[in-house]
Amino acid sequence: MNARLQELEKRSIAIIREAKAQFKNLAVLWSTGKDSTVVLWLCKKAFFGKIPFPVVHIDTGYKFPEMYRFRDEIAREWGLDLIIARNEEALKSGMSPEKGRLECCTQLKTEALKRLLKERKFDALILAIRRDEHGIRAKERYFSPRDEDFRWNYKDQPAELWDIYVKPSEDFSHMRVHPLLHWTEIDVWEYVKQENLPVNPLYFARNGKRYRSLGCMPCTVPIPSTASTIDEIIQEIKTSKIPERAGRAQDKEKAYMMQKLRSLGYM
Amino acid sequence: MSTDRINLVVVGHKDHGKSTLIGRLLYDSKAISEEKIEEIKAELKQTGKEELEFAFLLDSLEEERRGGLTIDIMQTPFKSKKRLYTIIDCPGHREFIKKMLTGASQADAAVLVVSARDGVQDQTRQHVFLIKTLGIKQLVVAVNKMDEVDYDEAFYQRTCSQLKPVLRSLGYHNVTVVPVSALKGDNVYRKSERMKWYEGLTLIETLDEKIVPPSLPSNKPLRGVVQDVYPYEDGRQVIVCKIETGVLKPKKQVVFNPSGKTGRLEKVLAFGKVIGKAEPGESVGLIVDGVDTVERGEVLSYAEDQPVKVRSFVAEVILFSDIQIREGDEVTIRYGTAEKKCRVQRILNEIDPVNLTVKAENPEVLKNQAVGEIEFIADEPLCLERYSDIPELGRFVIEGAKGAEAAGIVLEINRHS
Amino acid sequence: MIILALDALDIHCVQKFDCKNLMQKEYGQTSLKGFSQERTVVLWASFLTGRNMEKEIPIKTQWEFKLQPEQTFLKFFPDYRVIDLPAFSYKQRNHEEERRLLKGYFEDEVTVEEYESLVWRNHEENKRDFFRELGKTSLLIGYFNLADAIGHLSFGLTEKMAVVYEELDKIAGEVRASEEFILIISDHGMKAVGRYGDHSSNGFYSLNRELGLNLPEITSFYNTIRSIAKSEY
Repeated sequence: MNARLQELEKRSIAIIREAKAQFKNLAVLWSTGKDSTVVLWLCKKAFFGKIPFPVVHIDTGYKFPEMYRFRDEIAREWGLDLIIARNEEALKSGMSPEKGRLECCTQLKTEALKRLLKERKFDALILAIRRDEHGIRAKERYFSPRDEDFRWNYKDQPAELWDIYVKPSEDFSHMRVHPLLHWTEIDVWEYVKQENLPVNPLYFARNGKRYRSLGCMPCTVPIPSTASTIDEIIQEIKTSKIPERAGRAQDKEKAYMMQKLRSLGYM
Repeated sequence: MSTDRINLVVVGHKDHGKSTLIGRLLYDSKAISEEKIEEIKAELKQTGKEELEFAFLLDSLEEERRGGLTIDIMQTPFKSKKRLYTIIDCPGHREFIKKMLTGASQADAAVLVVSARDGVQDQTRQHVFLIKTLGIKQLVVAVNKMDEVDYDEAFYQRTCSQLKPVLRSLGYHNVTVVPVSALKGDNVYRKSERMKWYEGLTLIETLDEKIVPPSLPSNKPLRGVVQDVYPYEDGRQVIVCKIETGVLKPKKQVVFNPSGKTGRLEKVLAFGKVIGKAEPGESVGLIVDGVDTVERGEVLSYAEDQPVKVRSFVAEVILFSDIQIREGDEVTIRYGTAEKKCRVQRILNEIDPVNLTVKAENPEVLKNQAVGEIEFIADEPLCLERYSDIPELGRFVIEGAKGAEAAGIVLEINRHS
Repeated sequence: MIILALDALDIHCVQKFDCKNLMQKEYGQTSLKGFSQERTVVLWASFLTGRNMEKEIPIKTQWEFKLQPEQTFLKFFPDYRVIDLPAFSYKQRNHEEERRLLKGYFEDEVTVEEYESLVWRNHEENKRDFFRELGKTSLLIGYFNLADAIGHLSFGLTEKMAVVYEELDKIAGEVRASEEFILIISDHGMKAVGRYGDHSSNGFYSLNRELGLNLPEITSFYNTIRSIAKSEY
């Protein structure tokens, strides 16, 4: 096994095991993307085969059909305790990105999750975010507390020293656990290859395009590419440096605006 | 190409150019995507501020750039010819000690930035003190802003002589000091044309030469911490343990302390496979003959080299935020995976991290992010080690409502006043 | 003379929303030639002094920058009132709070609604101050940043901008009733970036008298105002 991946894996598994030991009602979020599938696999390894807590899929209703197929197949094969979170009301009343992207994400993703948390009283959630994904992610910690409104006081984060993770007792609704923080995009692909993990076919090129990251159908734009194997994908990533979320239009505009306003002295 | 990775922390006074240096390292090593650089260049072309690109490169964190201060940690890797470095940026502002400590605590080496013009400041000393307290043994110094002093060797030499006593008194010897200009790019990646009097290596070359990748503490006595117990086959349980030091091999007699439970280690499991050994950093499952369950927090070792059961200890403690510690206080400490109660027997002194002198003997209280030596009495025996022997079990945090509110490093064990 | 200083007012929107009162007798775009950035404070300071002030106003301290009346065209008037104009009588606290909430929005801590509600509140305050002073002095300058503040976060949302331009057109309508010389001017325009609005490099101007200006530079209004002031006061 690749020595580097071994190190990454060790650290992640230690974090996942700590999460299980410290929190009574744990769940892992799974988007069926490559990162969260790696996290699921790491959970399987950590607990010697079967994941002893629920796997949550937030279904916005706008996901690619390939995603739904993939999800159900893996859930069956891996014996997952799968919970699907959907904001049915918002969908019925016609919520869509046309009503404003921010509004749509808030209603269909955040609200759906909030309601599930309330219902099932999860006190910790494992998520697959990585530091190199996006600017604001660089501030995240392995264990990151959230209050009831999912607000994250990143200005006053508790100290995270020496792998000792302490749960705050004030203003606390649930802990977010990020075992994949220290992995890069390339690390993830190499691990997927090494472990022979199932991959959503959308990641591979079809008709000269492929999806580098999988959001919802209306808001995710494919990038031009001919990469149709994992090796080719890894090569492509190494040579180009387009940020992964380049297809997520909303992020890019917001990032640009922030930069521009800062250069004008507004912030 | 080696996959060597080094974690670096960059410390120094907030106005001495840490952020610019980091930006320069990232920029010159091409750690930032072409597209992002183009974006920033287009913005800056208009303002004629091309050189400040590097500061803008660090805009991953929105909360920054008011007066050039960074506020939180950022991990951004960059490459040299030899290896991959990950920087953990440390802010230079006094108020962010807590966050700075969190950044410094995972580093393998530190780069200290000192301005050639201003020289060694209080904050400079404070940072060196804190790095030392956290056990970072490798240090390289960059004397920055050489462009502001016309690349004059006299300023470099002056700073070197200011640095020597400070570094030596804290145990840093033979530290390489590189004169650089992060803004202009001199001696960071590229050898400077403007400092012909300097015959040493550039900063990146110095890092490659002088910094040694951390070696695993495999040669120390075996110490592991129990994380959890999971059900296994045949109604048995597997004890999940993280190895901190030493090497774990099956068929040997192991002991869990402070409970004293002991048995022969039958199997070591990793992810469903039986493995032959486990090294520091690995979290593995143990099947121990005669021991079915053990409490989280217990310390694993071989029978022939067990940790001392500690009843009292002296630690150097650093307070974060607004916690206060008084004699007689009951605190909960966390070390390894253990969570134990202790009483503050005596506050021996308060240390001034700036002057490195004792500020007060036997103060009544430590507050305002103070640093001091405290004698603790444990309610039940603990398996702490001296930080200088086994740092992994020689450090702890003190719990408060907000999470970890203070950190401690064990100086002595079982000392009686 | 009455000057309506409307931050970020854009000719394309004025036309799209058919703002008859804003368009007046003569209207067009201004040129920002010579400015490397479209900074609000720099542009209004340059408008007031008649020269390019970009190099004299560093970004870090720009919001606190203040001109003396003798440095501006105000000196040509026997008396004047200037409400909230950047580089002269800027309402520091109000706008600092706006900027704070703007930042909060990008940090995902403040909603668009919270930000907009503050902007409108400050706008109402300026309106009150402005109409109270109308008719009292030989020069009245009223500054309104509604189009800029709302536009930054919502320029791409037509319904929102329609409301903003309707409001500004209404203010222009009420001023029109008086018989003075009226200049409506903006520092820069706006262009869409998705839903957001970025500064663009042409401002807007309109006059209730035909002066035959052609893509005037923002610094050229100083002389125009001086000649009018000389001839009337």
